[in-house]
Amino acid sequence: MTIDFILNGEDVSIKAEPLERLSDLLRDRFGLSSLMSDCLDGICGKCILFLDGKLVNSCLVPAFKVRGSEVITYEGFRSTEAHETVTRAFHDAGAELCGFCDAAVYMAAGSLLESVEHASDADIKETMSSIYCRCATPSVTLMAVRNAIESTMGGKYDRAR
Amino acid sequence: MHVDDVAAPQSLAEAMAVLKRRPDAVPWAGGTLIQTSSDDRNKGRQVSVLDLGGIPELTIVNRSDRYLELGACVSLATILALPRNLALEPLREAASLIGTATVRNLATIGGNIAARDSFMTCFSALACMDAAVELRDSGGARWLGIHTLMDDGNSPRFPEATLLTRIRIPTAPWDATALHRLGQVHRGESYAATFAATARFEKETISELRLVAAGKHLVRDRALELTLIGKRLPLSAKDIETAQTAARERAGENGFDEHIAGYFGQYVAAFLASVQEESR
Repeated sequence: MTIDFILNGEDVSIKAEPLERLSDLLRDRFGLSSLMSDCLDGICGKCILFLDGKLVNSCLVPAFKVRGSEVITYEGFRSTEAHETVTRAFHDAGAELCGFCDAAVYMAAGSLLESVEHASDADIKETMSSIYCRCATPSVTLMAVRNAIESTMGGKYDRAR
Repeated sequence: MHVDDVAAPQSLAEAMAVLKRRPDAVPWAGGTLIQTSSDDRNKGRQVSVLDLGGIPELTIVNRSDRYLELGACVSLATILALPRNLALEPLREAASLIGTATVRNLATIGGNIAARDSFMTCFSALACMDAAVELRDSGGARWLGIHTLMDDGNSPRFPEATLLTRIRIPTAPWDATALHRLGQVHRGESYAATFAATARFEKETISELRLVAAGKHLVRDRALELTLIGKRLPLSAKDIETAQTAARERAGENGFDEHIAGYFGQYVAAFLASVQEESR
């Protein structure tokens, strides 16, 4: 079937099997190498992307589901202000992420900047635990994302909200 | 499975028309269970998919004084984001145990309920909350208690050519709730199950009680519940021990293996012990 959708801001069209995994489609046919389909089971989180603004595991999304949708992968996220904010925050926190994890971790952190007014430590832990990453300890990750949120808000945020 | 056709209806009426034409079509909401399940019912089969993602009615959340109504395609993330003052335990706990935050952005409450292989994590919670489901087929829509979605052998039974469209949950708060999960139900593990319980008290007695274990089978021990309702709190150690034994035996009689049955007994005992704390 023909799948028409918006990929990183551009209209694209491709023929695909309806159940082809979005992660495979984007990596193999569009050359988007940031998507690491490790577990194919929604567990590792290395294939996350924004689908119509929501962070999802692309290995669980079949091709037919993205017809008419907007998809943003790390390649698209990289050019946003949110990306700059989170990468600076992770760097400042002393976190060195490997090339296997970094795209997913930065996107997950970036998703939290969308709703900074409501973000809390619990939200940060919940969202960041969607990705299996051993590059940074949970406390360093928490600190980095807190810093990113605070810099977006221009001040302190309520951790226990 | 191989897909030969994907229908993407924009309304419930269109979806029902598709189901009438293709009663074997596989309804697809979030699809997380279909993508990760060990259920190989459709393995090697040529199937038609009914994509429910474009039907706005199925994503509506409605609140009234007495009920919360969830469209079947409401995501688990949306449920977890509902106001904390809504009495949604143990459903909230069940939803939080499923997948990761990114999986819950995709996974839907309807998909969790309508699983054909096992009772998934939310099912026992909803059974304890007296939830009802709206089913729609060519004959129209009807509301049924969620416990009717099982056969005589206490296994899941979802009618063919039927859509689950809404879930209605009474919002009167419970005084005590509990939810525990063992193993990965969606992997078809025989030792996987969810245990849920709810209770209300009145004048230091148990006035309402629900005790449910669900996995490959579902057991709700009404006889045991009736024995305990009306008992004055605190319960005696003997009452709790008797309840533990009865729950274990009932689970065993209803198809659970010894391991799960034993856990059900333990969870019943632990819940009844916690009820005493809550009532103080």
